[in-house]
Amino acid sequence: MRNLVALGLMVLASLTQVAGCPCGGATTVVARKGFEDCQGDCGLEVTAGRVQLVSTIHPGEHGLKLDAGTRLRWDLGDSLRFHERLVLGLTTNCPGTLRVGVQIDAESPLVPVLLSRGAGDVTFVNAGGSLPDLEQPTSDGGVRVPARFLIIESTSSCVIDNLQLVSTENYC
Amino acid sequence: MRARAGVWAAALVVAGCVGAGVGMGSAWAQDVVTPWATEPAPSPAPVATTPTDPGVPMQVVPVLVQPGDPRVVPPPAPSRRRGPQVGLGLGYRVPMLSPGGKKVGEALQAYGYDEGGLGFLFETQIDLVWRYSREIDVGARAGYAMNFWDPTSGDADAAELSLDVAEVGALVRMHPSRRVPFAFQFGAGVLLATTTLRGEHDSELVPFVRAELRVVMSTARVSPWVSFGYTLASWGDALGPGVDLPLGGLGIEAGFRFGENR
Repeated sequence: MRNLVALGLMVLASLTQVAGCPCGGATTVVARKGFEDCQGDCGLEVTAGRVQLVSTIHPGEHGLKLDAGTRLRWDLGDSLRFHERLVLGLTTNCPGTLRVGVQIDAESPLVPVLLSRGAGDVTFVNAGGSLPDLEQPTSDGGVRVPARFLIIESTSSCVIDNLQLVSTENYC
Repeated sequence: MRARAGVWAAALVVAGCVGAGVGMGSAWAQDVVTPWATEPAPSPAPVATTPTDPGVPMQVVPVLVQPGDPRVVPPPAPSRRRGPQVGLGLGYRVPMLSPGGKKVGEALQAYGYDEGGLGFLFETQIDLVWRYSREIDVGARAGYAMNFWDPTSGDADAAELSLDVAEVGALVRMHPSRRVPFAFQFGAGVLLATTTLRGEHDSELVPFVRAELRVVMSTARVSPWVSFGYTLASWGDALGPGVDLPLGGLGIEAGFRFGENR
């Protein structure tokens, strides 16, 4: 019996060596707007329309309500770093269309971000999408600044919350 | 005198046999005897008399009675007060299995909370019942239940969302028979549900109804019990328009009953 257990352990160890370690991943929030503990436009620049801080699913949970035709610009700064990919995520209650795009600078063309909206029969759903690769190589090799500005436009009255950029990294 | 003692011995033997025949074990067989000891019986019928003749002293003629003779009645027992029964219990409910549970899970997930957190609502309760009739107890119940949801994400402004539920209501407990160890219980009342997030509270008074099966483990004055029930209660639009928060669901409770067995 003892020999059988020892044999089993040896086989398991051999299989682990052959298969190698499993692949993994890591995510890091590099920029975020939670709309808690802030006032007014919470650091976002309103270039058109009007915004208002409102309660969402609870009096203790707040989001930003965008009137129809509102355009927001989020300055991400020039020190944004990421690994392999930047993913935009947000919680939204938007019966109409919410358009999101990124710019390298204020004069560059707007590159749209393809948003996918979470399924579910609820008021607030998750939405998100990968930011497109905006090639602007820097001197520190492989680390790029993908965008300077994130633009959000709403065609109808929308509420957004938990706006965040997540850097993802996969390894094996 | 010796004959009367013999009759009583026979009657007790018969009662004991009946109790054992019920098959509920020795503890529940006591119920068969209990009514004799607790309920006032009619005054004993005269066992035997002779026709009375005026002027002739009455003479008592002993008559042999057999067990089962309707004339055999127990003596009245000293009256004992029936105090209320108190029940204390702990348990949990599973609101996720209630209508609307799935939608709440989706709403919480959209905000980064673990959907599974809605799975259980831990509760404690106290009830007080009085006997209304041989089959029915009536009383009141108060309870408190709680749960909290931790966000799964490590966001800086993520916070715990907690739910507290205080309830009070009336109940009716129906015993199919005092000889069996279970009862059906129906209750109704109101509960005050409060959610708390970042120090902000949101409350609502919600009516509820509950049906449960309660099993009592023994006839001792302090006895463990367990109950299985379903509570129907829902807080409309609790987590945004169209997202009702179920506060009931299937539940199981266990505890102790204090008070005289009836």
